[in-house]
Amino acid sequence: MKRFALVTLLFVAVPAGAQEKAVHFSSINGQTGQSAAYGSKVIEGVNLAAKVINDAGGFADRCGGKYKVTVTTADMANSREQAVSLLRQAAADATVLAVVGPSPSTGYVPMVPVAGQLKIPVIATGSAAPIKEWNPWSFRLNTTSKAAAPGMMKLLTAKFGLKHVALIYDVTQDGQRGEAELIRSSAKEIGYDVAAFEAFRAGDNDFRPQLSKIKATKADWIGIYGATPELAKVVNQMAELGIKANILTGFGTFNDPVVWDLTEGKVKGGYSWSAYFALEDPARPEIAKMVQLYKKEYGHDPTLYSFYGWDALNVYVEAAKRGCTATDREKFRQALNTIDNFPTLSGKATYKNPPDGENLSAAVIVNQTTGRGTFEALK
Amino acid sequence: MSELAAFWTPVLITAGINSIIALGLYITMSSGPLSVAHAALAGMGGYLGAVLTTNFGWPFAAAILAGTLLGLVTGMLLGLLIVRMNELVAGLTTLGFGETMAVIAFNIDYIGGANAFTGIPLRTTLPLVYAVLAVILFVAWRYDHSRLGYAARATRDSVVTADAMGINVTWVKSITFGIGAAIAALGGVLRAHYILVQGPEDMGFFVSVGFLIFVVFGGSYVFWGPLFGAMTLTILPELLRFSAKDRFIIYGILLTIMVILRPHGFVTRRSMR
Amino acid sequence: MELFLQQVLNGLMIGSTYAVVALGFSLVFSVMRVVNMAHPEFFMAGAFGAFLASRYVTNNFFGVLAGGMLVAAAVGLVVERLAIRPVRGRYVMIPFIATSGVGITLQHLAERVFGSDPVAIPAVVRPASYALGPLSVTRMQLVTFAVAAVIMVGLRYYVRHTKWGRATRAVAERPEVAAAFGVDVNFVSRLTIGISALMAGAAGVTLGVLYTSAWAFMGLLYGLKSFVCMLVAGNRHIEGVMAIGLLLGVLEALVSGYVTSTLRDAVAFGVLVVVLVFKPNGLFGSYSV
Repeated sequence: MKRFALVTLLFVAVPAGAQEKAVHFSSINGQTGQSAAYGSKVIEGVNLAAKVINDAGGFADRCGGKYKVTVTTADMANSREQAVSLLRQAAADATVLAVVGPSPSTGYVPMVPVAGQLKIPVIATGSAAPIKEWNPWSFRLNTTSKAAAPGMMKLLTAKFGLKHVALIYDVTQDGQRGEAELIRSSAKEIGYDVAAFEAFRAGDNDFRPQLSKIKATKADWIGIYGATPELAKVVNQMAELGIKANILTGFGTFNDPVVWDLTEGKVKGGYSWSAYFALEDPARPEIAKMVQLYKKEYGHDPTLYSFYGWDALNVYVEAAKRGCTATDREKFRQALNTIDNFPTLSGKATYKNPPDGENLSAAVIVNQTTGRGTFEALK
Repeated sequence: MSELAAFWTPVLITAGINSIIALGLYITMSSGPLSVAHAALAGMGGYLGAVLTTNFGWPFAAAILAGTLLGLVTGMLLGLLIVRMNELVAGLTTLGFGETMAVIAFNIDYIGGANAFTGIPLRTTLPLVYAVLAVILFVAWRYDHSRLGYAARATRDSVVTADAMGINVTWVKSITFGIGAAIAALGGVLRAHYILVQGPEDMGFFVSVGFLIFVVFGGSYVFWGPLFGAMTLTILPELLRFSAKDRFIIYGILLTIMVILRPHGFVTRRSMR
Repeated sequence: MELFLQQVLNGLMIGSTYAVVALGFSLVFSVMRVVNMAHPEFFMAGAFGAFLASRYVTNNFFGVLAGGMLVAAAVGLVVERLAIRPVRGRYVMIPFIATSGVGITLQHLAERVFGSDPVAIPAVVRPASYALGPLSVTRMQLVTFAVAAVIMVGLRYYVRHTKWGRATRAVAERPEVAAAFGVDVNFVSRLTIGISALMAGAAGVTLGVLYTSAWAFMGLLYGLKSFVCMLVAGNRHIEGVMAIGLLLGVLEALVSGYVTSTLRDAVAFGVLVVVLVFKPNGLFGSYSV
């Protein structure tokens, strides 16, 4: 009987979270499991942004209210079910104004229709999967490849005479695969040809079969589309097989210090487009400030995903300021739509939803990696 | 109070669906084979049901029926295939089947390919899941006490003896596989219309192993076992959410300890008395 | 033609690692009738052991190899004590679940300790490339293959020509008879786990150095493939498992190279199903379960 009572207690105690008079956001992301590498950075960015605001005394909205920011973090562990469950739970919690995250497309794609049904705003922080059907409640902070990839290919073709490109991509990641397919389908229009189109899966270790095939095509440009562990291995194995080519990728991954370390700098000279990411930029002191705070708080460098987390929270806070509410999701959503060229670390944010929740001013910079976490923009 | 409901409703729906699929696995395993294809079977049901409701506008009930039928047919064929194999080897064939299905789903663009099939309408509700679960539990209960159920267990215990007793082993193995697969597919249709996304990753070996663990952990001798196993192991990670990053470390430890303490499964024939 | 040979070469390299990991799996299964689902984590532990060794102890390859193998063996003994010994001898699914639970714990523990990103392992083998005619192979690939070969030869020698090796075979074939002849079955079981962990650990080290990284979830896909190798080959003859591991590597490389890489994983499973339909005990026969 005692055991039963204890168990029942657990059932009741668990969902009760601390609630203060504050604006409450639910941060749903991958904290454990295979997507945690990105998700955990977003979570860190979100939490740091909230902390900075709270340490300064909270924020004031346009109607005279003053609020602190509360963030509840929940782990979706790379599982669709958990992502959807967590969203439903957040939606039913009246104190939650909106959801920040997730990064994995495994989470964002199923959450979109549910967010529309339950009328709770969600903002993706890194998911790049194409969304078939948008609704007024789903938003996305990060740049996606739709505009960026063809833009980069145009620039590289014009500037360097790119003619033959071989692509190797992760078929299990929607964003990576989508981008590779996009580059392939833009080939004729922009004026290059795709010499090879090789797939691999997340978790793979050996890419020599695919790379040997690519080597045989003698393409002088190679596009690599995959997550950090596989990307680094591909680059390393290219060197081992003696493949000399210009490399390109999306999402600024070559600028990621982790990738630099894993490849011992072989990504130097690689081209990518990115939302803005750098560990420091003399023209933008706010970057160095954030990086410093981040390192102090977490003991390691931020990555682009940390920026996404920080930016998403700040965009939300800005919307809260304009919406003059801590609980009315409809007002909050409308306030999001007034955000126009709002400055963020990773670029700017502009939303007009409907017709879709994409960030209309997501910055796209084509750049070349020059060092660990440093790069040079191409004009 | 509604907060409590908000937290637990999604969890209970998932637990209910997992229980349905676990019960399907239980019936399949009652005649012998260890199956790690049930996630794939559920997935197949899910895909079919989803395509029918989303692309063709079929009513939900009809889609459920179609998915279940697909499971039944596929299951019976699989059952026929593994008739002459011993337990372990049969299980491994199901591994091959499951993974192959996952790869096939991956490569068919009509159902979304690697992008998964999205846009599925929400049809599954908590009352519906538990109504279906109740029906399945009833079916399982009747099955356990039916001639087919006894024949299945005789086959599981010793094929040679069962054969000698006049049981048509081939028929028993294939029909139990079929019924179990049909139930799993049914669960899959429900799941697809709750999560609203059906993808190939939900069909593979590791997901199937998850269901296997539900059944063996809960106890594979009596139908309460899989129910208990699925419920407990689905709810446990949710209860452990407070541990954030350590969640799965604790889950893994608990799973190991629990299975060592109750190696015959939690619900055994003895504990039912 | 040279593309073909290059792919075969690639395949042999990958296959040798499948073979080593599969052997460990197979050994434990035949001796103890236990499917050790935590076996891939021995492999992962070896890679992290190598990471730690290369960071804090030595830069010498053999030192790193030894370090990794020791860590893997330690993990193996802990797993044996906690999750296998209490349930050995029971219905095969119980140790399967217990070791699955331990596997999950180990993966997430590694994630907690080392982080979710892969950690970089320095190149303890000086990178060099060799050309065999038009084909290219790196020094590290050769080292990987050499380590795997030494292990396979060593295991074969152990099993055929040493006292404990023969005792192991006896326990695998007929545990009751072996016990009746005075073989300490418990000790042999523990020894077997230790050996399988050492082997998986060595594979983990070589792969970690080869791919210059270690990751908490690196064992998963390897585990599955090795499992398949064990089943296709049957566990009676270790040479069979070795051969199938190599063959799987080559087949995958060829399918990737000539058909399409998206179907690569289907190869393993497709072959598995086909083989099992015709030869339910595996190609080379198994001990009865």
